[in-house]
Amino acid sequence: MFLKLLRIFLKENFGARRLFGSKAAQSKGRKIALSFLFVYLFASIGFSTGAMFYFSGLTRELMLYVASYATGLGFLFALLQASGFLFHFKDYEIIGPLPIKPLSLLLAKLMTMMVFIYIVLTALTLPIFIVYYIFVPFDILGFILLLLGYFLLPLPAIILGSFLSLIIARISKHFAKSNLIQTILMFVIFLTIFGISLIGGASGDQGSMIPVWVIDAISAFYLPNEWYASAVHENNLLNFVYLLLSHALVFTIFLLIISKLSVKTNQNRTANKQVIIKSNKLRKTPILTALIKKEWRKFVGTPIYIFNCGFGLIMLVIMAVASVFLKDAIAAEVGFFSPFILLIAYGFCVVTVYTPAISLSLEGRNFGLLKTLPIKGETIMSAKIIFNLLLLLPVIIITLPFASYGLGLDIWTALSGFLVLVSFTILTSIFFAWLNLFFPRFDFKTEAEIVKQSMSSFIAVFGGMGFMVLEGAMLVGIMFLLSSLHIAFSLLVLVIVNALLSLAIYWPMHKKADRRLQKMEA
Amino acid sequence: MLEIQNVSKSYDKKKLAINNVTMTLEPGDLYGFVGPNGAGKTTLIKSIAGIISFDSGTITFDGHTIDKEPIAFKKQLAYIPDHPDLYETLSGRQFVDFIADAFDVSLERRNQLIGQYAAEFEMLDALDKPISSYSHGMKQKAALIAALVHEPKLILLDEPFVGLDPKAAFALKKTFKDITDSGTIILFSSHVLEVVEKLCNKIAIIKQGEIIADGKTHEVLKDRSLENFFMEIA
Repeated sequence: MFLKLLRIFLKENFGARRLFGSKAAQSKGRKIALSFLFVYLFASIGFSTGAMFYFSGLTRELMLYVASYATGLGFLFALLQASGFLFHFKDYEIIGPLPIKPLSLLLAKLMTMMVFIYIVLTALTLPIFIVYYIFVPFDILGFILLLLGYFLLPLPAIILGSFLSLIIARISKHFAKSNLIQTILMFVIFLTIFGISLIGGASGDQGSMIPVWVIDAISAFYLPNEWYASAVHENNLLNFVYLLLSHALVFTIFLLIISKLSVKTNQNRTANKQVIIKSNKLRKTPILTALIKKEWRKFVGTPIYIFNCGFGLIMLVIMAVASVFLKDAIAAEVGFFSPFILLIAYGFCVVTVYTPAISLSLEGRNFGLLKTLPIKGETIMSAKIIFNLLLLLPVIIITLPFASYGLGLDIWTALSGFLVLVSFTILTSIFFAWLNLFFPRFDFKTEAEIVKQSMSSFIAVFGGMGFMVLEGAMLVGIMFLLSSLHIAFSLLVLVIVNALLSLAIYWPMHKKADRRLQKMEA
Repeated sequence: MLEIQNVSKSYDKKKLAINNVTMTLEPGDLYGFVGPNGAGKTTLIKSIAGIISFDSGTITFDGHTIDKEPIAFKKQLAYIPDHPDLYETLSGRQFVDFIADAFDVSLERRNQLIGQYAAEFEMLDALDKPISSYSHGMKQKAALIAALVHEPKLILLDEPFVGLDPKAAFALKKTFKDITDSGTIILFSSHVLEVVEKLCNKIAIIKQGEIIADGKTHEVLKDRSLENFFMEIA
């Protein structure tokens, strides 16, 4: 029964329809093109990371890096997904009444979650392993230890993430605004980890492009990473035995505990504290405003949505404040490159706020209702673009003066940099909306499938970064051509480029939105 | 025999969704369960099916209690929710096959029963299409075939007639009669009072979590219609 369950769960979660969306699943050509895009993206990230370590003479650190990555991603995915996979099954009405042993059911669910974690991990780390064996002589024992250890490494992080996910769900349900509390708690956990890793490495060598100090700090604090690197790199069998025994033991205990716990959490779905919505005052608002309000309610009411797309906003604030306090240290480190650092850091945060790339899909079954309303498609898409701008622009306007001061930018560079960021935000928001119009997916079971695993969310983040690379190259070219002029002029040229690109994407989208939306089926 | 004794359940530790419910369902009973929205019908049905836990009381079927011997209890049970959210990547046949596997139904028997019920519910062609292409009524029919394929002794249904076309509703009523004649117990909730009145040999009415009327249909109603009786007391 376990295998049958596992097969069904895997098909439900990772079938072509789930990964590529229903339209794309029907087109073989598009499926191949998208698969190729994924492979290319993951391979380029992995190979460049591996090569960077090798050319810095850090092949052993590469294994520590992989170990930290496996642990970190295992924790992150478990924190975000364990609640649905382990403690609150969406399909409990189907499988709950069946005479299936709780352990078989739980194992099948857990394996499904872990398959997802290992697929993502492998996609990111396989190119790194290939780079490792290009430069380090291949030995069969090391390779076996690398593979076995790789499967063991994320286990404690998955356990920790799973329990934290359950604790967050239990705490937040005692509050009226449980979703908001859940989001805040998740932000607190992430910022705490982020802060600890910074503090842990603060005394280390910070001169390298590779954050060796962070990797070393994590490995000093978390021994299994060191055991793994030592087992693979030096064929240290004793350290591998430590890794195997400790992880297998912890995982077995975890299984025994949660097979019973899972039944209880699925059966004890007590109601969240009730919220009384004071809606005695009816107000007439223009349709665009009403749609934007709807976007806001969806955003704040969906923890996984606000957590993923709100993280960039929080980071902007943290960066701006930190840059003021670290003004002198930054000036000594970056000097001439400060405008570039500002644009890269802000650009990175901007592309992580990708609400228009997923908000159409997140309409889910409500999309049918939206379609029946007398609203133009372009209005619906415009509301989604404006909503993203309303999230980002106020934060950019407030934080940029602080960041500019912290980085020691002159007024003209700061102002032109501000215009670049505004134009870049508009460009990416339009691009994201265009993506969701072409890659919609309404048949999801949990919002996480759309926010984290959908085609449009993947392409949004990587495509946004692609825009950054493209614009960086353009800026260097423009600066070369206008080398006698102030950098602000080069930045203003970039603003014009962004405006033209935005128009080039917006115009056809605006024309076709209505027809495309009418063709879509929820 | 299904015995529900003093079962209570609260979702918020303040208000009881079901309050001290006691009912006995005997083999062959076709039990209609009616009540206003939010009265506790679904909570009780889900408690019997083992989908949600309850705070106090016992639910026993043929000597097995749902909380202490869930597997033995569930082996005799089928449950169909009001909106069956089936695995959409499977075809109807694959889904029924999965349920048959869970109940260890022999290949020969499952083929025979799937053929029989698919014909009765006019699902012979649709059964090999993906569930994602099904309408609500077709999902309901697929869930019904899956429930019937393992010949349960107890069937729980939440609003089974919603979304069914008249022919399917007729076929379902006939199936209910046939399988209760063979000793199976059926408990279903419904807002279609005429159907409950005509079909069921026993009825129970629940209001604010409490059973306010329960027993043989003709004894509970006497000379009134269920609609009039319901309007009087609920």
